[in-house]
This record gives sequence, structure tokens and C-alpha cells, in this order.
Amino acid sequence: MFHRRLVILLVLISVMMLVIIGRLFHLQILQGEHYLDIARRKIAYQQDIETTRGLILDRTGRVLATNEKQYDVCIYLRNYERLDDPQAWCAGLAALLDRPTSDVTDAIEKVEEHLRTLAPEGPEWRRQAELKYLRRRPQVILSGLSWEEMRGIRLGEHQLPQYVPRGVLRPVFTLRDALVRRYPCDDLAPHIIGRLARINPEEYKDKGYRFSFDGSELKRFRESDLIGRSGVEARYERLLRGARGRLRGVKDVREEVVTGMPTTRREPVPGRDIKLTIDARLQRLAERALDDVIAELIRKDRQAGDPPVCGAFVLIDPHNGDVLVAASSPRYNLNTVIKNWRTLAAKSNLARPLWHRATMGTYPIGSVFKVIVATAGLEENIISGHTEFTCHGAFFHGNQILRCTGPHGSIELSQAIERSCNVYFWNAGLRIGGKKLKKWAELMGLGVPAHADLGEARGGIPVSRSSGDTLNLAVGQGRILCTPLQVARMMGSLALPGKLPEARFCTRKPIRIHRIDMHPHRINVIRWGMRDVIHGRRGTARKTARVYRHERGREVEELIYAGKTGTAQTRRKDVYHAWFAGFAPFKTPKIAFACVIENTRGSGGGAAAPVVQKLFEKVFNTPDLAPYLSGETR
Amino acid sequence: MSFGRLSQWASRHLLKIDWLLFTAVLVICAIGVAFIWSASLRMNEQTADWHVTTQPVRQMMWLGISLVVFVIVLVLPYTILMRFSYLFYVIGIVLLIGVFFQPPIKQVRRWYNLGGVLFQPSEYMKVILIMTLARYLMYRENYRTLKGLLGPFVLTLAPLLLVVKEPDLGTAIVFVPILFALLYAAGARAKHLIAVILICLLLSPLVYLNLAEYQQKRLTSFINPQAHAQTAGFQVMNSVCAVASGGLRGKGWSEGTQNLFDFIPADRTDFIFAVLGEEWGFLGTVGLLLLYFLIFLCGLGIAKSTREPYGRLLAVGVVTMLAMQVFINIGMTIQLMPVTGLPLPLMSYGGSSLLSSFIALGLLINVGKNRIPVFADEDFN
Repeated sequence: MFHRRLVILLVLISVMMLVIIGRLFHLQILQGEHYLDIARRKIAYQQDIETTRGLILDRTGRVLATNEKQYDVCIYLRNYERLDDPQAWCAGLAALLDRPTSDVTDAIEKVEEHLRTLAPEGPEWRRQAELKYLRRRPQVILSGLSWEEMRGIRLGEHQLPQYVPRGVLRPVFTLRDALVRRYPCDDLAPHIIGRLARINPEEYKDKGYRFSFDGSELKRFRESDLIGRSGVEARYERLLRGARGRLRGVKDVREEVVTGMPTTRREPVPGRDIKLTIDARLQRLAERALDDVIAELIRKDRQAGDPPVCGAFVLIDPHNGDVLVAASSPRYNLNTVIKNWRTLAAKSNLARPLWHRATMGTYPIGSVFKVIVATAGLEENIISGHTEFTCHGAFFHGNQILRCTGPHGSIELSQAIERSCNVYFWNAGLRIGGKKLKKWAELMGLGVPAHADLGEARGGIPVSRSSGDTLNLAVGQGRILCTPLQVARMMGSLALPGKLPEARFCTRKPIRIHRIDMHPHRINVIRWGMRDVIHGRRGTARKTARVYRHERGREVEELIYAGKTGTAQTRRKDVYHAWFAGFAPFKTPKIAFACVIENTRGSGGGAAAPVVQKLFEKVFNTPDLAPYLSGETR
Repeated sequence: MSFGRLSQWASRHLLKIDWLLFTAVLVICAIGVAFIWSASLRMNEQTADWHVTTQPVRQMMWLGISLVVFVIVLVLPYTILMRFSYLFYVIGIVLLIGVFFQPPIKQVRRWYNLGGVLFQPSEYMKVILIMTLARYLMYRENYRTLKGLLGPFVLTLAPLLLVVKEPDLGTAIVFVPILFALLYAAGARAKHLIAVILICLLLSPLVYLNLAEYQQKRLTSFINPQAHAQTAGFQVMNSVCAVASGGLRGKGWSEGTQNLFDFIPADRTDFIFAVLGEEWGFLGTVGLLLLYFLIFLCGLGIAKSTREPYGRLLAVGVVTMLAMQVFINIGMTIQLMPVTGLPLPLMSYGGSSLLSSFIALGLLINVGKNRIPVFADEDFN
């Protein structure tokens, strides 16, 4: 019985096999030709739809970086060389573009040459085959055409010689559009916005780039894609970058889309817009003020052989760490940076215009450090506001004589800040000790990262190994290195005592505020001292930093604010880094600032303070910018 | 182990195995790897050159693992495995329940993710079910009554429902013919079995209404693929087009346009037969079917020559399982059946499927190798 049943099972299996073979016979033998025809006609095609990169806006929504459509002329070399008169075609195209004919002919020659290098090594027939293929493909000859030029070509196209073999028009050229990055404000804040460049072949081959961005096929880099190289463009690449769209479907031999077959279209997703904390108008004014002052300094007292005079200016909101201005001089124009790359990046260009001094430049800060000494002394209960030291114009340390700006006599803290008395702070510094000075400097954000969402230098506060080191540190000379951003942040923590927000350049970064254990009433005396630097009778910046509101040519109102000058020595004699940093307005601080002029022969009050004064004067007299400085006035 | 002992061991375990069957299996596997290779060719859109994904290599790796497991299954006397049948069954059920607590992959909970390697318990459950049913039926008589059929049905329905719930309809469908074939071979009354099948057919509209929407669509698109050309019917239309356009001799290995231009859906797993049909044509497909038929023939031959009841039921179960999978898979590729996700045994890409097929074949060859004396009538019923 079992055997009989096995035979029945075998029969069942055989029947199934026969059914399958029958169906296969029907399909493959009887209908094979029919289906082969269908299969031959089908070519799946897939086409990318380009996306756009996100915009970069300032805090008020002004566009700092946008995308502009440009047009490329692509030529079909195969059809071009079969024209009756190629030269006439070139001349015609050049005429439509208002360019000399040689532009077009040169471009075509260049493309020919380029194609020859592209063709692969190997047997001659293979090279020829590849070249033949490339000559049938559209090749870019003229790129970066404006809309008007494109329109001109489109309107005059029919006048050009045409290639019409056997009554079929074959195109000689085609117009292709491409998006390029444009910067409407030209050289405004180029370091912050950052450069875009084509991705390197090495990077492209690196899987990290090809498969980056969540592994999304639609977002990954292509050979000719642009990638952010510096500034926000690089930092927020992930957000700015959009995802391409994709068109998928089936085409037949005539390249017509087959209906009835599924066609899918995935819309491109544009990149996200990035809003900066920068205020473009303030930034522009600050850059102008900085440039003007530097130009004047160069004209007035630069001597041959001096290193180039450069500068940086930072303005932050101490409440939340928003960087309102981060100007750096010299600068470059993002629209022309590729054209001018050679000179900008040259080693011999000592001014280093590509370098963002506001966050990457590190300098000794000179007397600005005195406010740290004062804070450390007060907070550690080592000195009080009434502690007096006597200044004879010099300080004796071992067998050294250290000079002060003048005999200040018996002087207390707020006056010492006002007049920037070295002797006072040498004495105080020695009492406090180098360790505590370093601790307080770092607590207030000097020599430590500002946590900015942009490349920044760290700098550093040196460890004092001897009393000599401590003396140097107490007046901000020597090996101490800080960035303007750090100094502005430090001033912010004095403006709003105890509050030290992380710096942010982009509104996407969450606000984070560090707390310093500080007593507002104790350090008030420092704030008053800083106020007197500008408004006191003997303040170091009393002549150059006063800001008034003008009405009909008369000064009607004065801005009350606080600052501290600094003049840091460099290796060169009589060449200094001039500093001016502080906060404004005095009573209800809204901004903290730091300005540095590099390699000048002027002092903090003489070289750096005018930048601040020029900017504030403009801001103070412009009604819609005045809220930045509004508060207490006289 | 001296050479003499080794040769003794080899002659005991290897020489007695059914070499014809084993060769057929290996040839099918080799063809499988070749076509997985062909289906894995991908074009780089930029440079327009072709490259192969890692899947053929992974399949070869799995083939190696499967062969090791195969030898282990072959060397153990299958009577030992018989004793653990129920234990395996319990483990299998627990694993099937455990799957529901796994994170879903492609919205389906079928797999355990063991550090990048996917483990699909339902594949192994098929083999375990054969072992369990054979164990349950081997010395019984009562399945000749309708009441006695209850036990085997419950044993089958428990894993079947769990697998349907995953959902994995394709694998679940294979459970049913295994049950019927084993009952039939063991000697249940054909009347009863036909009655049960008729009842099932009457209940089938109810089942259809309970299916998920995509499963319903597959069924309706089987009946009228043109109406669903945009979605569900697309797969079948393209796979039929691929197979049919192969003609008599095919377009040549890795030359199929339907394959290279990515028209065949799931071309490395469930629709691998479409790739073979396109590239090797009618000769290739019939050749493959003959190889499968050779396996089934040898399997039934083993069943016939074995007198030990567990072994013969095991052999019948394995042959039925493989035959049904082949039939369902190829059937759906050439539009003889609705589309259900089920791999073609020994051909499709996938470790679990390959390994479970090899375990089943190991058991089959093991039965053929061990001729255990039985003190019973020729037909033990």
C-alpha cells in the first residue's frame, strides 16, 4: 500500500512538472518572439532632477548667499564638424553674444583637446570608439551665461547655419541651465558665509563622502557637486544640501515614455535655509569702519618693513551669545574668490585675507587683561575696591625696572583701570598669583573655546612658572593668546555679571549659557572703571571713543558705555596689537564688543577705539539700528 | 585517526550516500550562484561600468556553511534526531513566537537579526514539522479514523497560524501539502483527506476576506494582471516577459536586458527563475526542472527502499516540501499562481532557505544511507 501511494505521489509531482514545462513551452517557444520584441523595446530610464542649496540669511532675513540660474552652451561636436561652414556658425554665435569670434573658436578647440585627454589609454580602436561617443554627447563650451545672453541666443538661433542631413534637423548646440551660488552682498562677511568648491576626485572616491548623509542615494555627492569648504557653508553642509529628485520610467527605442508602465517622479527636496545671527547692516558698517581706520593708520604712520596692518571686530549679544558682527580685515569677495584665488592664497600675501581673524586670530591682549586681574582679586577677596597701591612710574622686580605710563601716585582700583596703571596691576597680580589669574581668565572664556558653530582658534593662558611670568600675565603681555571672539565674550560676562553664553553664528544652534560664580556688586567697581576709560577725565580712550547723537550739526545726546584699551607688544619694537573691548550701553548692556588692530604703531586708544567710535556713531544716529545701543544716555 | 580508520569511516558515511542526488543538488546550487551573480550586476550611473554586489560571495559563504551542517546531519544516525523531534518542535514554536518581539524589517516580522545575519525560523520550521509529524505518525493507526486526524492537524496548524501572522503566506502554504502528503503516505484514508480539502475550499472566501490588502491585490492581479499593471501586476508582467523573451536558447548568461535594466523584481531571491529563464531560455529551464525532478525521484526511491517507518515518512516529507516550493515559486514566476514570497530552494539568495534545504536533504540522504532492520510487515499498517 505504501508503495502504491508513493507511486501516486510521484505521478502528482510529475503532473506538476509537466504543467510547468507546458507553460514554459507556451511562453518561451510559442510566444517567445512576441515577448522578445516587448523586452527589446523597453529601456528603463532614470533621470535626476537637480535640487537647490539652502539660502544663507542674516538675522533680519536679508539674503547673503543665494542660487542663481546660469546657462551653458553645449556643443555636439559630431554635428558641428559636419556643418558646411563651421566658421560662419562660430561667428554667428559670437555675434549673438557680443563677443569676439575667437572666444567661440578657442573654446571649441579647448574642448577638443580636453576630450582627447579623457579618452582612455589602450588600443587605438577603443580610443576612437570612446572619442566618437564623447563627440556625440553635449560638451560645454561657454559657461556662466546670463539670462539676457541666453535670451539673445534663443531669439537669434534660427539665423545660425544648421545641419539638416536628409531633411532631419540635428542640433549643433544646446543650452543647459545650471545653478551657481551668488552673494548679493559681495564682500560682506565672506569668512562667515564661507566658500563653496567642487568636490575633489579623492574625496569623491572616499566612501565617507559618497555615502554620507544618512546613506541617501539622492543626497550623496556626485563628481561635479559643490561642497562647503569654510564657514557656515561647510559647517551646515548637511542642512544646506538638498536631496535630488528622481524621474523613473520606461522608454521605448525611440526614447518615448511608454505609457502603461509605471513612471515615478520624486520631487527634489531643497536644502534648508540657514539664518545667521549676524546683522548684515551692522556687519557692513563695522567692516567699513574697520577698513577706514586701517587705511588711515597705514597712511599715517606705517613704516616700510612693518608687517601688514590688519584687524578684526566682534560684537556679540551677551544675553544669548548671538554674534551680531564678526568683521575681519582684509577680506575677499565671494563672487570673485575663484578668479582671484592665486593672489588671495599666495604665501607672499602676508595679510592672509582668507583668514577669519575674528575667530581664528590669536593675539596677546595687553591691558584688556587687567579687568581679569581686577575680577580675580575682588572675587578671591585679595583686593577690594578701596585697595590702594602707589605708582612712582616704575616697578622694581629683582634687578629689573618695569615702566608704567606715568607716575599715577596713590591710586585705587577704578582709577587704575581708567588710567591703565601697570604698577597697580603688577602689585595686585603678584598678590593674586599666576594660578588664580589663569583660573579666572579661563572661567571668563579666555584661552578656552567659545563653543562657536564655526571654526575657531583656542589660544591659551600661559602657566606662570615665576613671578616674572605672573607680572607679564597681569598686564596681558607675553605668551597669552586670545581671539577677539573670546575677548568679546569675556566683556559680555562683565556686562551681565556671571553670564557666559556660548557663541553662536547660526540661529539653529540652541542657546546655552554657562554661569560663573560672580558677585555683581563686587565687580561693579570694575564696570565703573571701564566707564571712566571713555567718560572719565583721564580715561585712556577719552579722546577717541566718545559717541554722540547729532541733530542739526549739534551733539544732543551722548552714549554712555564702558570699555578697556589694550596695547600688546609684538616682537617688533614700536609695533603693537591695539585693543579696545567693552560693552554698551553702560547701565543696561545690550552688546559686548572687542576690536583689535594688528601690527599698528598706534595704541589701543589711538588705533582701535576709533573703529568702535565710528561704528557706534553710525548706529547711534540711525533710527532703526539705535535699539542695539538704546538705554541710558546723557 | 589512521588512514584505515578514516577510509572505514568514509566508506560507512560517504560511500553509501546517494551520489546521484547529491550531485544534482550541487549542480543546482552552482547554477544558483551563477544567476545570483548575474542578477547582482549593477551599473554605475556615472561611469557606466558594471560591478557586482557582495551577494554572490555571501551566497557562496552560506553554501559552505550549509555543506558543513549537511555533513553533520548526515553523520548522525537519524534515529537519534527522531528522539528529539518533539523538542525541536517546541523550540521552533518558541522561536516563531519570539519573532513577534523583534523589530520589523520592511514592515514584516520574520527574522531575528543576529549581528547582521538574518535568521528566519519559519524556514527551519518546515523541516521540524516534517520530523515531528513523521514521529507522531510512525507507529499509529488511529489516523485512519476522522477523529485521529485531529492530532496531526493541530500539530500543523499551530506553526502555520504563527507563520501566517508574521505575515509570510508563501512559507505557510507549504505546511499544508506536507501534512497531507505525510498523512497520505502513512496510510490515512484518501476519502477523509479529500473531504477535508473540500471543506477548506468552501471556507476559502472567508480566508480571502481576512487577507491583508496587498495579499488580496496579489490574488486579483494574478487573475487580471493588466488591471494592476501600475502596481502589483508589474512584478508578474515583467517576470513573465523576462522568461518568455528568453525563447529557446536564451539571451546568454548576464546578457538579459530585463535583468540588467532592473525590470525583474526581487531578482536575486524570489524571482531568480525569471533571470534563468531569460538568460538560458527553454533549454535552461527544462534542464533545471529535470535536475529537480531527479532529486524528487531519488528521494522517493529512498522512501521506497526504506522499511523503517520514521525514515520513509521523513523522505516523503522532504520530497513534498521541496517539490511544493519549486512548484509554487516557478508557478508564480510564470503566472501559474498568485505571487507569494517564497524562495526557490537551492537557487534563491538567502542563507536560511539554503541552510534549511540542506538540512532537509541531509536527513533524506541520511535515511537512504542507514538501512535499519525493522521487525514488521512490509507495510506496517
